[in-house]
Amino acid sequence: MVLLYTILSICGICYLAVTNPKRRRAFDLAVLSERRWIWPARLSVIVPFLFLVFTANWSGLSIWAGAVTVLGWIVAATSPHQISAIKRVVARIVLEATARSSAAISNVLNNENAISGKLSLLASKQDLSKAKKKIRQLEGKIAKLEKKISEFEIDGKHAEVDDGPSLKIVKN
Amino acid sequence: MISLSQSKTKRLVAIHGWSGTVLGLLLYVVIFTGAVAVFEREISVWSQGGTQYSEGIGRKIDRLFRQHAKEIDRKYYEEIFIARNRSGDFRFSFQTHEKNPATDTLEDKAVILTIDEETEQVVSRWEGFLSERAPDRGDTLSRFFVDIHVQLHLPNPYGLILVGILGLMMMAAAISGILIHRHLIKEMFLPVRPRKSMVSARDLHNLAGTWGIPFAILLAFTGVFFSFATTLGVPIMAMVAFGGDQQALIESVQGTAKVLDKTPASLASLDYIIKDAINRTEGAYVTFIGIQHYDTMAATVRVNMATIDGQLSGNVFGYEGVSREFTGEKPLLGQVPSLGSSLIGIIAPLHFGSFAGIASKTVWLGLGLAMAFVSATGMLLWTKRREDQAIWREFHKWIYVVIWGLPVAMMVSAYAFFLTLPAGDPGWWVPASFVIASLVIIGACLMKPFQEDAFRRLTGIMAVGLPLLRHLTGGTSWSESILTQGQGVIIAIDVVLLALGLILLCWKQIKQSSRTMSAQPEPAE
Repeated sequence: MVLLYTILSICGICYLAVTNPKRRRAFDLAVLSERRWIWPARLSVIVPFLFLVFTANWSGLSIWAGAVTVLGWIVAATSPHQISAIKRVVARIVLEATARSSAAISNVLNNENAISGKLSLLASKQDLSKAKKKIRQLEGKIAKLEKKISEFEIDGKHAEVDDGPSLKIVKN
Repeated sequence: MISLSQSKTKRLVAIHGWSGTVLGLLLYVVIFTGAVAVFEREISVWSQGGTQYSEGIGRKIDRLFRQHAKEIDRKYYEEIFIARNRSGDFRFSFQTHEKNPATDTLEDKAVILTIDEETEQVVSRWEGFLSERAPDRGDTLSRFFVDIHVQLHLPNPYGLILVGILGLMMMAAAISGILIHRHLIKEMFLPVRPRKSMVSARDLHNLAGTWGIPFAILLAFTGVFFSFATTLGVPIMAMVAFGGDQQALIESVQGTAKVLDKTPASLASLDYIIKDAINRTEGAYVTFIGIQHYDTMAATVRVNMATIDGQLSGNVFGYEGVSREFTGEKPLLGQVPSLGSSLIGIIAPLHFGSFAGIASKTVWLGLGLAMAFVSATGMLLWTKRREDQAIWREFHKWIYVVIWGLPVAMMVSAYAFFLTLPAGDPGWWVPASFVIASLVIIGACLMKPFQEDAFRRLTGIMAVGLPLLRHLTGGTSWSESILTQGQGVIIAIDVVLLALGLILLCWKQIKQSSRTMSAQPEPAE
C-alpha cells in the first residue's frame, strides 16, 4: 500500500515539475496553453500523508516521506532535455529489442514453415508410395483378369466372371 | 517566505557556509559511511557467508537454554541474555559485574556460548571482560564501516564527541539553510540551469537541500543524540540535578533497586513466556530475551519483540521469572510508559532506518546519499566562489579527493577483509588497509594533479572485482545462497557492485550517448 501511495505522490510531483512555468521558461519549452491542474497534483501528496497519519501507520509514513523526498529530488533535478534523452534511449532500447524479437519470431516462423513444408512433402511422399502400391495391386489384378480372359478366349467358351463387387465383366 | 534584513541574511549565509565547510570533509565521511552502514547487517551476511540469516527466537528454547545454563558458574546468573548472532546461531551470554584489574573499574564479565540450532552443540565458548572482547571476525568489515560513521575510528569518547559536533554543524547548516532560502516551497522545482558552472552548482545544491532539509535535521538530531547521550548528556544531567552523582540519576530514572530475594527457585518455562509475548503482539517474533537473577525468587524476564507492521519500534514485555506473571510493557526510559520514553524509543529506528527491513533501509540509503550530495555540493560551491584565494582553490581540489578517495579506501578495506579472512587477522588489516589506502591516495594527489576520471575507473574496477574476489576466497556462491540459505542478500549486493562498477567504467560512453541523444531534434509526431 505504501508503494501505491509513493507512486501516486510521485506522479503528482512529476506533473507539477513538468508543468511548472518557471522550469518551462528556463528550459526553452513552450508555455502550456491548457489549464494546469495544481490542486489534484498537490492532493496526490497531501492525501497519502493524511491517510498514513490517521491510520497511525508510522513506519509507512516514514518510508513514504523518505521515498518521496529522494524520488522528488531526482524528478526535480532531471531537466526536460535529460528526460527526452532518457526517453529516446529507452525508446531505442525498446525498438531494438522489438526488432530483434520480431526478427527472432520471424526466424522461428520461417523455420516452422520450412518444417511444415518438409512435413507435407514427407506426407505426400508417403501418399505417393501408398498410391503406387495400390496401382501395383490393381495392375496385378488387371493382369490376372486379362490372363483369365485370354484362357476363356482359348477355350472358346462364353463365361460370366464375377471379380468382386466393383468389377463385373461379362463376356459373350 | 521568510523575510530577513540584508545584514541578517549575510550572517546566516556565513553560518551556513562555515558550518558546512569547516570540518566539512569529515562530515562528508560520516554521512557517506552512515549511508553505507544502513546495510550493516546485510554487509555482514554478504562478507562472511555461510550464514542462515534467521531472525527471532523460536518457542522451543527452554530445554536448550537450561541444558547449557547448568554448566555455567552460578556467579554468572546475575544477568543472562539470549539472542541470535549474525550467523543465525543462538548466543547465550551469562554476565556478572567484577572489578577489572587492568582498568580498576567495575565492568561486565561474561561467559558467552554460541550454539548451533541444528546440532544443539556449543560452537564457541568465550569468557572474560566484555571490554576486552574482539568482535566476530566475520563482522569486521561491517563493524568497521559503522565505527567510522559513529566515531571516525577514534578512541572513546573523543570520536563520539567529534561526530556529535559534526552533527551539530549539520543541524546548524540545515536550519540556517531554511532561513536563507526565502522561497523554500517554490524552489522545490527550481530548474538546474545547464552549462553555467557557478549557477548550475548553486542550483544543484539548493535543489537537493530544499528537498532534503526535513530529513537532514532529523538524521542530524538523532545522530547528535547518540553521540552525546552517554558522553555528555548523562554526566551533565547528573551534575545539574544530582550533584554529579550518576548512580542517583540512573536510580531516579530507572527506579531504585529493591531488596532481592535470592532464595533458589526454578525459572518458569521460557517457551510459555515466548508464546504469551507472541500472542500479545499479533505474531511478532521475539528478538531478545533478558533474564535477571536466574534461578532465584527475584528472577525477572524481559522479552523484546520485533517491530510489527506500521510501527517504528517493537514492544518490550516484562514477566516475573518464577510465577511467569506478566508485569506489563516495559518503557525504554523510566518506570511507566511516557511520551519521553516513546520519543527515545523511535530515535534509533529513525536514525538507522531499520524499522521495515530492506524497504526502509533502501530509502534511508537514498536519503544518506542525498545528504552526502548536499554536503559535497555545498563545499564545492563555497570554495568555487572563493577560488581567487589559493587556500580555497587547494581546498576545492581536496573535496574531490575525499569524494572519490573515500569509496576507493572503503573498497580497499573490503579487499583486505576477503584476503585476510581465511588465514589472517581482518580485525587488524581492515582498518590498516583503509589508512594505507588513504595515505597512498593523499600522497598521489600531492604529487600529481587530481584526475577524476582515473578515480572513477579505479572505483569501477574495484567494484567489479569485489564480488569475484569474494567468490574466489570461499564466499557463498549465488546458487548456495538461494538454494540452501534462502536469502537474496548476497546476490543483491554482488549485483549492485557489478552494476555500479560497469556504470563507472562505461561512464564516458553513457555521458556521450546522453549528450548525443539530447542534441538530436525531437522526432515529428
